[in-house]
Amino acid sequence: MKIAVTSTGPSIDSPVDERFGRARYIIIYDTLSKTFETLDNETNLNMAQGAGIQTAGNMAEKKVELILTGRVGPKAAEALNKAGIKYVENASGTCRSAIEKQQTA
Amino acid sequence: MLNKITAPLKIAVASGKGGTGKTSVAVNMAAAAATALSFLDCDAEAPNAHLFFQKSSGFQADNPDEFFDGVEEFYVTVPEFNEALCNGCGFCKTVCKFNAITMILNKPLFFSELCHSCDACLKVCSMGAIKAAKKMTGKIRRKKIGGNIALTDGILNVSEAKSPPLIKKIVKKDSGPSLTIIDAPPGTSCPLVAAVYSADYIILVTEPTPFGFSDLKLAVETARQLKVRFGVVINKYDGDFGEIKKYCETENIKIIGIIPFDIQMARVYSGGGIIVDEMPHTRELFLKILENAVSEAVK
Repeated sequence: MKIAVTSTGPSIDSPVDERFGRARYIIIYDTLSKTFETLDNETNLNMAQGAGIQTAGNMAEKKVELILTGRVGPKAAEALNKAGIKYVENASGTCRSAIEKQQTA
Repeated sequence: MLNKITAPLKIAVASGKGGTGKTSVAVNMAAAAATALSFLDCDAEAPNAHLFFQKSSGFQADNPDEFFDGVEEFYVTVPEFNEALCNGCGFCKTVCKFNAITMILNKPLFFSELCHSCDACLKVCSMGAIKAAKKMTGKIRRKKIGGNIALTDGILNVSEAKSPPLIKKIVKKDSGPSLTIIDAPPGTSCPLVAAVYSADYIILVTEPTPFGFSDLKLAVETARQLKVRFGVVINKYDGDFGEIKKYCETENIKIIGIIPFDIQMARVYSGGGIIVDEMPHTRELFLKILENAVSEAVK
């Protein structure tokens, strides 16, 4: 299963980015291989509008199943629902600790 | 001099900061003019010029639309997707500069509130899966006030975010054969530009506060970029704030009127009244501002 965490930095030990659509990076963690890849989200970060729905589209393309972030806006939420991607809000700490917390929960 | 205007002449009233007195200046100039003119209330997110004309004509009703002679629905084009015909190529998403389309599981997901009706998606779809549909985003309302004033306003539907298409249509269709006064929306972004870009002259209304002054400078920059001539009116002037006059002098901007800070004017305004009618001695003041703007515009 692929878990995406919005991140302020490129490493899995970077603090969580509270924004979803305008997150600086997105860490995609694979629970099977226990590896992660970093998605640079700068293009969406700098969009005048529609950052959330485009980021949601990217998540669908990457076959992410769960997203951990601070808050998901209403349009991004609609896109994620359509894609069948679950999300958990109010994530905090580092991306690694957010993922660990989610896995024990 | 105003009745000598024989060709179309558009005078826009703008400000940057809201609440400096755009509508007060525009409405009272129109009421003072005593000549045939078109009045376009382009503050489509919150048009309020009609309230002043409404009170002076004694109209009372729960539905403000009833005050008008005619109400026209305003539509923009938005795409309508037929998922059965879509092959999931995603070209519509790629060409959309406004991020209104995203691809979810190889099907387009469309957000009409982000759409700017550019039609790009309609043009690139090779499957015929996108067709043009209409979406009503607001209304255009018209009313003849007395013998002289042809009032038009635009009112955007609640939750609609884009007023420029509506404003552009009003300015294009309802500008008069001679004098037109445009009451512009606040700010210095797209709605303002849509209201003033074709004007012959912009009256920038400011007030002697740091906020009023700061936004005046932004409005000046905007007018200069649009290459529309402009002058400044200082409203609510109590003589305490000298920076605006200094700035106008340095920048070589003409101050075409100063309206004193007057509690009585504020009372008339907040009661929905027309100042030049209820305080006849102010008629000359507002007429002079309009005449100054017109003579600067035709220079």
